Amino acid sequence: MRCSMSLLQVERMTHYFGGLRAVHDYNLRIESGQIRGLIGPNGAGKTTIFNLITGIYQPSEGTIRLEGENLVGLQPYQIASVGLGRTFQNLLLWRHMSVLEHVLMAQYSRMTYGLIGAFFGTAKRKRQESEAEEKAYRLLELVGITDLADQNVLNLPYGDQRRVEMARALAIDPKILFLDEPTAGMNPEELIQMMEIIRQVHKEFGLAIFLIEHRLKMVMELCEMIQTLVFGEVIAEGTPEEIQNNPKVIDAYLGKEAID
Amino acid sequence: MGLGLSKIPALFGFTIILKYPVLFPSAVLYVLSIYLLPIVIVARLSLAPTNWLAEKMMDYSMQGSVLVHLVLLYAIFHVWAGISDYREISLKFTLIAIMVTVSLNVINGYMGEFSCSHPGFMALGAYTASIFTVSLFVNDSQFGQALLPSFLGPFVFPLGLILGGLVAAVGALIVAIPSFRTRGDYLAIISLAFLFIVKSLIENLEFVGGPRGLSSQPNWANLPTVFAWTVVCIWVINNFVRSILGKALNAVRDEETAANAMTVNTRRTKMVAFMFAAFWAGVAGGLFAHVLRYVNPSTFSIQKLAEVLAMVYFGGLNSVYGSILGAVSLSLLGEALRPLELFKWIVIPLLLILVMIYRPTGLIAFKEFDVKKLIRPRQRPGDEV
Repeated sequence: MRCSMSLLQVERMTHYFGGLRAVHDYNLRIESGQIRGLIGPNGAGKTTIFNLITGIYQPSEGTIRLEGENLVGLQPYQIASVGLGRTFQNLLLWRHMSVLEHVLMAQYSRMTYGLIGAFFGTAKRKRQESEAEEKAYRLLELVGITDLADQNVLNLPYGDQRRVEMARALAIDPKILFLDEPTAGMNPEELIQMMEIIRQVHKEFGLAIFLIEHRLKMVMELCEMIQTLVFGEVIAEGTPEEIQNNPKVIDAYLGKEAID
Repeated sequence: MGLGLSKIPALFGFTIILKYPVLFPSAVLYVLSIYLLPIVIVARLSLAPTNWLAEKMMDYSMQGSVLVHLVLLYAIFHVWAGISDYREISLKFTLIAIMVTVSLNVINGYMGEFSCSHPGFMALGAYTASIFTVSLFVNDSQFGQALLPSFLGPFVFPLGLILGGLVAAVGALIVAIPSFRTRGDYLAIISLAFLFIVKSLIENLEFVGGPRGLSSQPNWANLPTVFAWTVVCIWVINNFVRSILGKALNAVRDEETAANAMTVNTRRTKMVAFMFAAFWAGVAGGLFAHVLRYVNPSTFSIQKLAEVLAMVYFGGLNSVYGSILGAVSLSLLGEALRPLELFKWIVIPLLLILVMIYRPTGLIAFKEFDVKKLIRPRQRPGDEV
């Protein structure tokens, strides 16, 4: 069974925005524990693919399965609760909430104390919430921002905000983690730290990771397999070496620019 | 009286100052000698022993300590309100205003949507509770003979209030289903429409008296009852907004897409919170009807809405403290400025505008109401108890 079924399997996914075809005939297989990359020029439809798989948009055609379960038609919160965590390219943090509250909030679906617990503060609620807090602190430690737990997220520097998003995505206990340009806007030092965090997360939880990235150095170093997307279509797929040497990719995406 | 005041100032002398400016010094002197000085002196003198007591109580049991604080607070209210009926009824209305404001803050502050139907929910609660008590316990021309002996009344009364709250919650569900499909101004428009529908519905229902209103509610909403309901209301709402389930409201308000992607069922969260807030508005409405012992549809008009919204935004969004402060200060101010008659409605909005300019989210916004912090021993002087 295991060998025939991938962790995440997307088949023939197509999406139209009105008359515009944003994604065409997209296929993807991610095995558990694998790190995959998705590269492509701006506007190629990378984030659209993320939004389609995580349920923010509904695909016009095609199937999406996580461990064999169909995901098409589910709400984003349902898809998230079955184990698909993500971060956002443009940092969608909650502006009035502290770092700790962010990581607690992502454990929402684990809170089974119900409204009675919420209204009357039952023992069950206290237990579940203190467990959630313990877990939140573990995750904050993993991404290295334990000392910022009580800070409001807006007070943090950009790199730390990215870490909050990372901890938050991990808090839902994902089977697979979608990272949408996790190092956008970071300086080289923060970039190295972030790569270290991604490696560590991968090692610690054995997570599958699907990564959109602009910095080729990072994709080439981290990923086992890379897809290149241009105008909503995959033009090349393969290992970092194959991608680097693929003339189509060089033509469409890298141009004559050297890889940094 | 020696100070030239004709009677005991009911509300800290404000009313007297406005009516007879000549008596200004006497009124100030009165407030100083009766309230300010004794409170400061007692607080300073009793600081050490009460702190010690508070510490002991905290060691013993948190619940016990809270209970003692509440009993003392009630005792102060009781003595203060015992002086005149006017004080008592003002205090009751203030407590009810606190309930309404805190519950509206759940929608307008914590959830960040703009709801206009709170007076409508109050009306539903007021009428449901009134029909319940009047038909069961009062020999009334509309509803016939009393069905139950009146000694049961005070025990069944909470049921009537809860029933009123539940009817209000059902009303909220009707508003919520079409409004929460998307974000935006829909809720404001639909809830405003709902307010008008409720009002004209009641005006046209003959069996509850139509526009003449419904009277002869039994006198069960005494001060301890209203106080107890207010405490329960604040406690439950505060519990809710501090839980992870309740904090989901903030997440939905600040960034709904992210909340959804982090396993929060946003639609359900919003609907539950909306119905929950409406429930408390309904309970408050039921109490309101029984304090006044008369209720008519024109009470729950746009003006009531403006009052409640003002209390929420004046006090502070996303904060139970803020709502308590807003409700108390605007209720007292409304009473104190009564002699100004029409000009009252110039002074209060002016104050609101000032608050909006200098503190756009209200006086005490985004502050958690932590009972533990409130009752723990302190070193600063000026604390009561």
